[in-house]
Amino acid sequence: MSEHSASVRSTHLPGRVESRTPASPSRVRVFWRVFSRNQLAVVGAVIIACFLGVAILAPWIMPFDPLEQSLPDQLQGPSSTHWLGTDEFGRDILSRMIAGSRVSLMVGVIATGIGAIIGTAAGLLAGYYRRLDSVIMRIMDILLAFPSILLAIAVIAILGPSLTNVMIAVGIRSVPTYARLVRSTVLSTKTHDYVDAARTIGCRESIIMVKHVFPNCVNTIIVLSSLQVGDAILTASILSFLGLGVQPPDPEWGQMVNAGRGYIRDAPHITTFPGLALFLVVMGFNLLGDGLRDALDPRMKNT
Amino acid sequence: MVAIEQVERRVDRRELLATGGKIGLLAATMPAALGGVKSVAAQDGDPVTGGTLTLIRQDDALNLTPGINSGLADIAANFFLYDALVIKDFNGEVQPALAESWESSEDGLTWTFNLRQDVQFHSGEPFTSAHVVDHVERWLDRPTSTKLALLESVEAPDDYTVVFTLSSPTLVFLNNISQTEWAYASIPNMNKVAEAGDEYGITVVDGTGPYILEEWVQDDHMTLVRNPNYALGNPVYENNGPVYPDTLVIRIVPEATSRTNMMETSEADLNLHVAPRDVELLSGFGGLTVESFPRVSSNHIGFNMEKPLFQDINVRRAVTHAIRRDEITQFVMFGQADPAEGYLHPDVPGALPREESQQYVAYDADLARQLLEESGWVGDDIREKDGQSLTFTTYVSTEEGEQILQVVQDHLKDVGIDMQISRLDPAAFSDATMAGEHDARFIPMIYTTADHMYFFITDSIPSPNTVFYSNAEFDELFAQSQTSIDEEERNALFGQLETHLLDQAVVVPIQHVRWIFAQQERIHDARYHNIHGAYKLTDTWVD
Repeated sequence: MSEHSASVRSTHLPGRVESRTPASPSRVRVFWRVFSRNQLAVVGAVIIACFLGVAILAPWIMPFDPLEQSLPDQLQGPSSTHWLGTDEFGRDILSRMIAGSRVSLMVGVIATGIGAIIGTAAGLLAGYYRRLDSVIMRIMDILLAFPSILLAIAVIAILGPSLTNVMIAVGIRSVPTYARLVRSTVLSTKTHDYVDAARTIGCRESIIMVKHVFPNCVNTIIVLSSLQVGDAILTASILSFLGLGVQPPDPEWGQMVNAGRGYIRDAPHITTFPGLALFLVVMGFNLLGDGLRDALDPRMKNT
Repeated sequence: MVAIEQVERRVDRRELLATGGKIGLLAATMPAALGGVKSVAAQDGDPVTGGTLTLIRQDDALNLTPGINSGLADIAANFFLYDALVIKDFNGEVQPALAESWESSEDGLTWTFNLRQDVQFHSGEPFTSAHVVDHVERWLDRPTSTKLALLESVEAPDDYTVVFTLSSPTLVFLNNISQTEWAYASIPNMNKVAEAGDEYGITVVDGTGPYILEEWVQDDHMTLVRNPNYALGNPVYENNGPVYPDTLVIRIVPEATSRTNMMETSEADLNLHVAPRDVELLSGFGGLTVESFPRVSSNHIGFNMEKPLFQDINVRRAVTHAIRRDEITQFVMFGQADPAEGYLHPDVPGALPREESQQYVAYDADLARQLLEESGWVGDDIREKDGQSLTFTTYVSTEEGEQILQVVQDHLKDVGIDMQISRLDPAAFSDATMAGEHDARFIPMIYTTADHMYFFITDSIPSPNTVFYSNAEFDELFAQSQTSIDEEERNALFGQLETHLLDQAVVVPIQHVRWIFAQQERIHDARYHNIHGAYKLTDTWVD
């Protein structure tokens, strides 16, 4: 957190306030140079790209209908017909995993988006307007006081199990994380001279907050989001594993792991492959997140 | 897996409302119909005294006070700890237990029981008629008291005589006070019940049964030790003296896979809840035998008859004919269930001959489609009518039930019906179905007699009649079945009731499940009961 505040201080000098462009070619080049030197980050990016590709192309690359049951073919191991085998209803696991990748990535991105938007707004307001600070941050403290998975389960218990509600639950869960981080960035940014300068020339408070303070939080939010997506995917899978998320027959990785649990002795592939996919995609997002943090941190740039 | 038993707990509670003596008039000698008893390793040489017998169950009892609740785990533990006045043998015949003889008056209103005079509770206190009277009077205030609906008074003229007076003659009375009828009639030491208050059934248990409670860590294990003074038994057990093992340990293991592993590593002697999918695995393991035998039960989907969609009999019939039950029993239950060919379990007296009943449930997708077309439901994929699509949600509360419904879902899609599945925890399931929130619900049901069709009479709405079926003809037939004193007539009436349910397609029978036990070679002379499973195990000994 502190390093992001530091980055803000050094990059946004008072004189550049009005003309600041967040993505000038030189900055992109600098970012790319640092990022591409980080091999693990590139591996992470490649993993994510692969999964994204699969998710986007899902309807065209699925070898079988993921919902099509064929009971006589149940519990088969990997073969040339069913590359990753079949589940307890004789459904093709590869096809179900491909279909499930859409769900997982969508949940990850949308839930993180929900958390990021609400959390950033809350953090901005709390950090900028001292009057709102204690109210908003106490609410965040309350949310943080719950173990995050329990909070998500509680939200599902109220709203009922469904994919949409999983996204909401997982999103709400990450709101306080964003709010705290953004608030601290705002607190340090708003004391800068350029903010005072903006105020002096008659800028309205809301304009200063959105146009001059908020952009300093963007790097922080991007880095946090890339780490949060993996976390959100994992949490959503836990919810589905517990039967609170995607409802059958629709496929989801966590739910597939749960369904295969009882057959782990005879047909370990049912749980192994979706579990492996979860592992890869979450690892991918974490590596990518680390890489982004390094690349977007100006102090790393000089090393 | 826990959920399955939990549902059974619920169902069981309702079931007893059903079979309850409310209007009961059942043959005095309970029909010997519930035969299907399994005897394993009948004679293995001379019994050896000593050792520890370890059982595993998937769920634990809640309270060991007889009659206080109707969970199957409570009932199973109750058989080891208590006795009742009478008990049924493996053929369903009522036999003496704490009462050595009994007689009923000519008008059938007065029942006199002569008690054994040589029985002691585990604490050493003598068993007398006062305990019986006190227990029965307290039982009247308990949730399971419907079994005593016709009881007017209970008295003890002397220490070893008990007289029951009924408000009208009933032939189901003896059945209802047998220990076999869900063990509510088991007699505890009422002095201890009074002394211990709420602690009774948790930390204090004092019965006359073959085992004495030593330690109970709820949801983990229960340790019982031999009652050295036991001399009752169930008359059909060979051994009516003290049991052979020194100790009986009941371990609670909710995960099916863990239970299977424990059998393989010989950590347990008898697994009372083998998952169907593990039967093959365990059978192939040396030193283990797996026993699977029919259990009097019916899993079915019941429609909520108040929903407009299901007021159309064609829709109900279409669902019934669209399901390939043999696929479910073969691939979900791995052969460890029998496809339903009627509503009642075929072993239950009064069940229709299968050749008469199977026409109602036979798989016929073309017929299903035709029925739907007749009612105006058309379309290539999911059918529609007046802009509405043919969709409904079925509530379920167990993992196994959810798996079964996923196959049903697939079958229904073939004829153009979209069935959604909603899995709820048992308490929520019970509340939601009673409130009529469901379109349909799936339940596993166990019962002892066809009297449980009380489930579908108007008076049972909303519980246990969670299908909200109300039909004057059905009600009348059921009332007749309860007032008839002739066993054959009663059975004929049960047949008519079953026909009615099937013809009106109120319920969609799916399958009859089985008991599946796995046991180690070191256990001998274990006999199992088709309703109560392990039952009292008084012949059983271990190497």
